[in-house]
Amino acid sequence: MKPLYRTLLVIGIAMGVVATSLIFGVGQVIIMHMEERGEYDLDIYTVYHGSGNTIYGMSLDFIRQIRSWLPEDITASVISSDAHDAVLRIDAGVWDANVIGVDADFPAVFGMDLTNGRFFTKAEQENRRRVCVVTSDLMALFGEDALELLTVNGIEYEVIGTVQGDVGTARTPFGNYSSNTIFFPIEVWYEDFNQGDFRHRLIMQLAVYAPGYSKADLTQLVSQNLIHMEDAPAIKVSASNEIGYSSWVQDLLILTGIFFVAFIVFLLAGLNIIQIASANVYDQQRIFGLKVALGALPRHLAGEITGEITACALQGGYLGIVLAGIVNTVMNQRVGQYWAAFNVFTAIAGMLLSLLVGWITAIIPARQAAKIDPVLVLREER
Amino acid sequence: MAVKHLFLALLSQKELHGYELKNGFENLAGGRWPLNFGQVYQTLSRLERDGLIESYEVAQTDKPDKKVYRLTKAGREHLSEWLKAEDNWNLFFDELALKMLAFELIDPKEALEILRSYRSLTLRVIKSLTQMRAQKPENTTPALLLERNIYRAEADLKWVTNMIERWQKHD
Amino acid sequence: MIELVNITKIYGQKPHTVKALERITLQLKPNEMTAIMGPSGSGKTTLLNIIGCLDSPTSGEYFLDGKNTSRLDLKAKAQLRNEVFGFVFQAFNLLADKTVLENVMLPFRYSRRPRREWKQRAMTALSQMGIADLAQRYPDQLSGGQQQRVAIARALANDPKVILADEPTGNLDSTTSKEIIDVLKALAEKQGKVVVVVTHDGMVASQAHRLLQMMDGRIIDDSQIDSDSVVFSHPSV
Repeated sequence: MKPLYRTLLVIGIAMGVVATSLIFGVGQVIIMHMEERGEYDLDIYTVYHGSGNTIYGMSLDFIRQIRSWLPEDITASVISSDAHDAVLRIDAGVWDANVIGVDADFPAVFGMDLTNGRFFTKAEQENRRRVCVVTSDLMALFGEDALELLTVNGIEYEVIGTVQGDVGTARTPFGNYSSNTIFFPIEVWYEDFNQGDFRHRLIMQLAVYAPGYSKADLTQLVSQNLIHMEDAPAIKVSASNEIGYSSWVQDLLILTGIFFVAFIVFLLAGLNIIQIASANVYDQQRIFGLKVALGALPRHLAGEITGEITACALQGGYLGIVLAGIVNTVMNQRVGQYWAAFNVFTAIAGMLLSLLVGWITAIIPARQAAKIDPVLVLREER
Repeated sequence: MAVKHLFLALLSQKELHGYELKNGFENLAGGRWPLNFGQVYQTLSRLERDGLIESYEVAQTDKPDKKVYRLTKAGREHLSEWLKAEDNWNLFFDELALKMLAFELIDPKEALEILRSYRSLTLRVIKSLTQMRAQKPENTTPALLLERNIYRAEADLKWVTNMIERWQKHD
Repeated sequence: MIELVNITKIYGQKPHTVKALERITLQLKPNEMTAIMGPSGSGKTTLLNIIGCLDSPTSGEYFLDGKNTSRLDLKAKAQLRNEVFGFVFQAFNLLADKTVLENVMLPFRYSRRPRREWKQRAMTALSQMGIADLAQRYPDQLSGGQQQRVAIARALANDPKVILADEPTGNLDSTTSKEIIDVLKALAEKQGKVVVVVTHDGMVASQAHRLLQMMDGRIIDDSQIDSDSVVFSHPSV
């Protein structure tokens, strides 16, 4: 195969692999997202102040009041909004993670295990001890032994524990606290990150674990107390599986759209390969004719063509995965981690796809090569 | 005729005696045209008689005096006249050219035989001359002689092959 | 050893058919180099292709060592081309992106010989052609004569019994042409192969043992080339 064709083929396949790898990666995330829906503990609810698609947030005092309306057998924790202006410094540099304030019962609400150390206690909350807990994925990033002290906005905190960092267990309609999160006692969080008059709006939700209670029960408990208030705010109760603003249907549509795009990419890559390989067969007519004169059978020629395309497909696949990795890393910085699952499966899928496309598309040029009449192509001009 | 002019050409380079002229000529002709002394001296005396060359004796100690020849002015002019380009082309340059004229008058089978044997001749000529040519160094006079004849034989082979084709159609 | 009986070849669809060969009857023997001459369109190359089983006749019989080739299928004919016939073309037809050695080994890819024999057999062929030292070069680094030697080595690699050359000296100068023809002639005389050369070069034809002259798809002359010597004459004075 001429070097030009070989280069075009490798690049074409690489582009196809980049596209399908990234699509495959995004697809995986969406599928996980859809799977998560089924995994939620239906006994977890969120109490929040909002109407329609807007969330107003509540003050700490008010949310404490709501907590008091709920029976003792319900486990609850406040969850603040994210302190966006917090600047974390660790040895490895500056990091961007969720910085939120919660109660000591936070892990109990979501059934999260500690992988190291412990969570802070109610006593530590009252004493405003400067401690924090980190999700395990962050711990792995920072380096297990490295993190005993965390400096945020110039203040040092003692890291006393690590909770499991998975995708999925601690999700509420208003945030994913399963990973990339640093938990501070809410009182400390208020003091250090949000001084001044903004206090009244910074609690986003009260997450509760209420086995044996239905959404209706909880709503009832809340509203019967609100009635007695003047200008009662609109407090809502949401079940954990009413996750996110996107619905099941929306996810399915996105997934279908994604597979459609993948199919188009696949098709274009395939057509591209067929075109290049066919042009190559045409250019090399004489050589194919010669090989027939030397005793080559159609299956020999088909084998040679498939072999050349496969070699290009492997090179293209490898190149494509490297490029997809680069794109993924760049996107991670911008959009955040887990925008696409770029893992072994994605890489394998990319390589397999490139091989498959190579083998299937080789059929047409192989057939063209078999049709070449050696007598015709070997004819000389006098 | 040819011999006479080539002697003049050889003498145009330097003065030579009879023996050197004989060898000089035979070398130029690639050994294909041997001369005997009789021919050599006959040619030289004619040239002298016509005033194209002149001779003088050189005394030698143990041998008889040697006669050395040189070109005269007339000789040089005659030579350059001979070397000038020609405007004439002999249409009937060999026996076959003449025999061809009789083809219509003889048995067609006989004509075909003549053509066939001429073809065989040209092939053999090409074969021999190609072999001989391979043994001569590039661009020497003998090599040039052979090459011209090879080209001539190849051209004639083309011609006679074509003739044979046409003669077959004739039948 | 090779026998053609009333071979006819017609191309094209009615009514635009072309009769490339008409009732050709011919035998070819080992130890002989046969030259085929004729104008364009006389059927020389078609005849060569049919002898080499690259093309099949429209009618007539072709016997190879007594066996009738018309009963053979595609696979059998490909095998014959690989094992019995060696083709040499005017345009060399070497693979530009492969070394000389790889080019000469090409026929083995389609043969039944085990891979471990390939290199050695190819080197033998290259040595026979006197160019073993060029094994690792690429075709574009070689002269025309050297490239044709590589092409002949490739034709010889699988030790065929028949060498079929179509204008092998067409792209070469006269000195190199002579060398190449000498090689082909030696393959006939010294190795007992059947050598057939299509040519319009008189020098090539003159070196052959036998000359076939073709016109309009027929053989109009078939004669041995005499070895009698020529008398070279000169004018009397």
